[in-house]
Amino acid sequence: MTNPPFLQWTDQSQDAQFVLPGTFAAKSSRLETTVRRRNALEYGVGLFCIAAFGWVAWLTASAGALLMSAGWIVLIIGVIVVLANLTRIASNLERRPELDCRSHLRAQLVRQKQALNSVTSWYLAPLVPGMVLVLGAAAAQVAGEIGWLKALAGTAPSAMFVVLVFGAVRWLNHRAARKLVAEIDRLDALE
Amino acid sequence: MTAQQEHLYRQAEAQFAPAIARLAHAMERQPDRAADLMQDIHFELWRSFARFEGQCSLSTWVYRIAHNVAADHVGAATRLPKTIPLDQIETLPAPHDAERGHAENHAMSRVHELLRQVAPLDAQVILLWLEGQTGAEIAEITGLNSNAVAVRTHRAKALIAKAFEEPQTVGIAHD
Repeated sequence: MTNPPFLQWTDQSQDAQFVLPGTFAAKSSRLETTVRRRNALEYGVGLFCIAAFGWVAWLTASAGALLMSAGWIVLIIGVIVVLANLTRIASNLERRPELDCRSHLRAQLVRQKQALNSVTSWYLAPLVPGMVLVLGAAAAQVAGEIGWLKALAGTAPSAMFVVLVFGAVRWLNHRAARKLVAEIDRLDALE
Repeated sequence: MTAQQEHLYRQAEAQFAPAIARLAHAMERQPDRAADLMQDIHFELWRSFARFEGQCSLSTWVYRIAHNVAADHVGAATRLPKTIPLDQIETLPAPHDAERGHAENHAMSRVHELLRQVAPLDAQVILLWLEGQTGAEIAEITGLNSNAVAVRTHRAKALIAKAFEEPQTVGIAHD
């Protein structure tokens, strides 16, 4: 420690005090609260999807479309796997704020980059079997009357839409990861 | 709560409470967000003292936690915020409109604005230098090498001295 270069700076907030430790009993940090709220929102959306898909699965099963019903059930399983993956990724958030600032920042960026880069395997892939089954069942329902070629052509727009949405999610996440890689490289260059 | 945790927390309060308040107000423009950040830092310090076994000095431990929590706090609000390299800033930026009207000290507001515009590590080095930490201490806290610290403090000194118009009071120790 040396003399501060500008006394105007260190003259500020001279009467500051710490919060009493007793108030920490039921407290979590703002970051943890933010993560918990975000997870709660994602679980809420996931549960809504499960309820909606379950209802459609029941309706299609009641109408005798068992293959379609199976597709929706597989989709529900996919959503459950995504939710489980969300929990696993969130639990990997180990708080070690006593690391030096560069290492701390780097660790945060690497963790975010890994989550973004692996979005295909933990977020998109679990939903693919259900999507394929639902679209295949939709084609199979009418294939007997109009033939498989026309039936598949009829489901092509829906399939293309799903592929575009999945592709966009993957592209956006990979683009964000590339920005993080540039940040990480910049930090490494400071060593 | 352990006696050691309590003791270290009180010791940290006695030595670093004003510095942590200045850090919070520098990094968060809104008073309520600055208060939130301050509480988060206190909370993380409290939790961390259960792990403190003299791995480094108390000062290094406290400053690392304070700055890392502040960086996370700002980062959570704006994912990968747009920053300006320190060496591309010619003069201290004008204070934000919301702050200008309340600022008692225009130069101080401009320093705050500078700290919010530069990359997290640059801001951390400048803040630690303003608190009177030596180059070696800043290097240990931030994990940067002493040369990188010296470049940043030299640049900060040039920018901030102009704003305070007291070049004769400016001093820096790298070790």
